This record gives sequence, structure tokens and C-alpha cells, in this order.
Amino acid sequence: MKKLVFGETWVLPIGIGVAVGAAALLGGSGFVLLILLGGVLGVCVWPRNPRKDGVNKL
Amino acid sequence: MAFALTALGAALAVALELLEALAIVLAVAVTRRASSAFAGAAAAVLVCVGVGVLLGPPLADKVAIQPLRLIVGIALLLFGMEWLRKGVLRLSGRRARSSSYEEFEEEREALEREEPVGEGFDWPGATVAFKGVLLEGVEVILIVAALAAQPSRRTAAYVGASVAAVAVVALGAFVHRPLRGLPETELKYVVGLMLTTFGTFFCAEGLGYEWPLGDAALLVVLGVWLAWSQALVRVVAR
Repeated sequence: MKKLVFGETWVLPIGIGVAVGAAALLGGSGFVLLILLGGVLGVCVWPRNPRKDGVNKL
Repeated sequence: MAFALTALGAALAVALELLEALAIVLAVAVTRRASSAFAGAAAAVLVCVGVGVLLGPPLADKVAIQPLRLIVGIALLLFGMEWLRKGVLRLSGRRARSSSYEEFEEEREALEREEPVGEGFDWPGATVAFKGVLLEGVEVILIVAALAAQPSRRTAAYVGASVAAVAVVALGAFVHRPLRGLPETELKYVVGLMLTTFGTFFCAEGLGYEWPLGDAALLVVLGVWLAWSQALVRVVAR
């Protein structure tokens, strides 16, 4: 269940929560939410680790 | 347009998840005992149906539409952005490509190292099949329930999911192994884009935002995610 909800990184669910909360405080703007979520994705995929081998299923 | 996007999103998500479940069940059936593999898979399907009955209609009927949109939006973002994150990493070459066929071969090799099947019911094989189908099945239920939570999109989500489920089961019945040349990495990336688009759209609506252009704004949001994720693929690949 943890994998289902949180996947492999805690940054993603925390980032989504922060982005939705911030968008709500800023009046619920859809485009603000879009920009904040885009930032969350950018942080999540920022290269940190060397390449992984093997099959990585979802 | 919203109907087609919802149906396509549900169909692709269900097909890809079920292909992974199929790879595990077929690996058990080929290396251990087919009857035990199918029994384990059938038991998991029953549990998934129970979860679907518990989650679906009560969620749609008892929760007010505004908070429901927010809940559904966040759920879709959790799944969609995880698929999208992995899609960006795979397309940029920083993560291995996804392949149900490879998974099938790995699972089969792992099972061949186990103790040989004895007389009677093969409990280890059935358990492996049960766990594989349950994990992927619950994910399918959650995604379809989220896409179908709004009455206007319910039919589209169910149609897309049903077509995909029938197609994957038919594939397993006739081919007996996952397809080798399927571009699963690209398909999962597309599913990530679609689920993230719906998640963003529903979340904003749940926060009280009215999108200009109505449902047509889905295409704008999809375009933004496509452009941004492709930019990230190029940056991460350097």
C-alpha cells in the first residue's frame, strides 16, 4: 500500500500536498497549481543517482 | 473530447497494469502449475472486485462534488506524477526501460530456482500469482475509481477499462506470454501525462477554480505537461 500511495519517493506526495495547499492559499488558481506541480516534477527527476540497471516496473 | 481522453487514459492505465499482472501469472503457470496460478489470480480478482464495490459507488454518492474533485485530483496526481517521473527518467536514459516480457523472464527464472512442485495444490505458486494480481489490481481499481468519480466521465472510464481488460485477458489466453515489442516505456509516459492532466484539472476545480474553455482546457493542461516533461527529458539526459 505504501508503494501504491507514495511510489518510490516521498518528495512527490509531499510536493503535491504543498503545491495544492499553496494554490488553495493563493485563491485556487489552476495555472498557479500547474506551475507549482511542474516545479515538483522538476525536483523529483533532477539527476542525483547514477544510472540504474535491470527492469524497473511501475 | 473529455469522453475520449478519459476512455483512453483508463484503457492505457488498465492495459499496462494488467500486462504486468499477466507477466507474473503466466510465469507461474509456465514454471509451476497452471491451475494453481489461475486459482491465485482468480482469488486476487475477487478481492479487487470487493475493493471496487467498497470504493466506487460510496465515494461517488456520499461525498459532495467539490471535495470529491479535490480528493480525486490528488489521487490522480499521486499516480500520474509517479508514472510521469519514471517516464521522464526512462526516456532520458537514467532508468531502465519498462518491459513486461523481461519481467516475465525474470519471474520465470526466479521460480525455476524454487523447490519443484509436489503433489496437490501448489500454494507457493498460487501465492505469487495472488500477490502479483492483487498489487496491480488494486492500482487499477484506484485509478478507474478516480477517473469514474464524476458522473459525466463514468461511462468513458468503465468503457476504456473494460476494453483494455478484455484485450489483455485475450492476449494471455491466446499468446501465453507478454508481447515483446510493445513500447511500454512510451505508453506509460503517455498514461502519466494523461493522469497528471486530469489530476491537475480536477484539483483546481476542487479548489473552486473555473477553467477558461471548460473541458477544452484539458488539452491546454495536457500540452503544458507534455512540453515541460519533454524539456525535463532533454535536461536530465545531458
